[in-house]
Amino acid sequence: MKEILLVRVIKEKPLLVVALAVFMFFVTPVIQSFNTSLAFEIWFRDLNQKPLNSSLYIIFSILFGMFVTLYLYSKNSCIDCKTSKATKSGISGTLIGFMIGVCPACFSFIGFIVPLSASLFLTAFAPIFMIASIAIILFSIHRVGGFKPISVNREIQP
Amino acid sequence: MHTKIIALVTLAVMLIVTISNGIGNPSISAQTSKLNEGLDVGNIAPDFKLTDPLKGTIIKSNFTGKPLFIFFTATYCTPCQIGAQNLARYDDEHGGNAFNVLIVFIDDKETDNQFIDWKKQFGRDDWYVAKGIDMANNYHVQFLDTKYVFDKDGIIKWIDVKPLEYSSIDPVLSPLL
Repeated sequence: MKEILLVRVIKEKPLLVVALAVFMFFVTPVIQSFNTSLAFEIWFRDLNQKPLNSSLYIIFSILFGMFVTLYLYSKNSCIDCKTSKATKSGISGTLIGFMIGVCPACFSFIGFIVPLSASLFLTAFAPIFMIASIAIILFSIHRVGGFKPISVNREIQP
Repeated sequence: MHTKIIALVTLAVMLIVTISNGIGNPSISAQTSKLNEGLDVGNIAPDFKLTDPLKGTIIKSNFTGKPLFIFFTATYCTPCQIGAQNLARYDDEHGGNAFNVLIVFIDDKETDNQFIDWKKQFGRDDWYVAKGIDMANNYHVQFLDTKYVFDKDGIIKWIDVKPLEYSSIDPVLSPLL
């Protein structure tokens, strides 16, 4: 009996995947709520007005949940033992996705890090950056061995 | 490795929260009463010249005699839309003619038609709208949602970059009305 490792992890740790995906989805408005009581109103209006960015951000959040759960699962089980190699790319993908998000120019802490012209540029090309971050997380999942078939006793197939 | 990741994430979140709060009200660090031209609270605001697609040329002296609320934004800036709706509500509650509003759009790709549509959706007919990238540079605008308030003599009374909550408008404008 063979099964893809990622599918196994999702079956064994569904709550952790969901919790991490929900965490990533709401982390931006939660941080903004320290700054303004309008944070969640802004977030949901942004999602509503920018459906492409929103869809990509939802996919990104779900993949983040899968990647971190897979990382923890693989690390604990030492499956393929390549988790440290994937960590850097996973963090890079997460940071890009989190920082670019739905509308980087609409959240002022981005403006503190980059000039206004750069945040307007990031906003204009946000879907491309989101696709890039999704690709990086998928690559990280691949590096952890998430797409490899494993047998029921968790042996990796050559 | 876990400890390092947790420490990194914690530091990143703390940094972002600190930045978010720290930049919340630049006027606090800009208290000055010098009547020189400049960009601090208490300074005479620099001149500007813009073009409203419906009302024509706008210069700073057009607004002398009434307070002026300036909003630097882009049509897609969601916090700015909510802030503008709050400002429109306050404008209505004060007769619609107590102060002037100038919306300055700072994304070069946007057009006059987009500005007019934006005003219909989030603002009021008597508000001024214009593209103003040079003005944004002169006013050192670093964030969408940057706001300046001038008194009736064109002196800067308030600068802010946080999303405009309804409750924060009255303390700024009522002493000037």
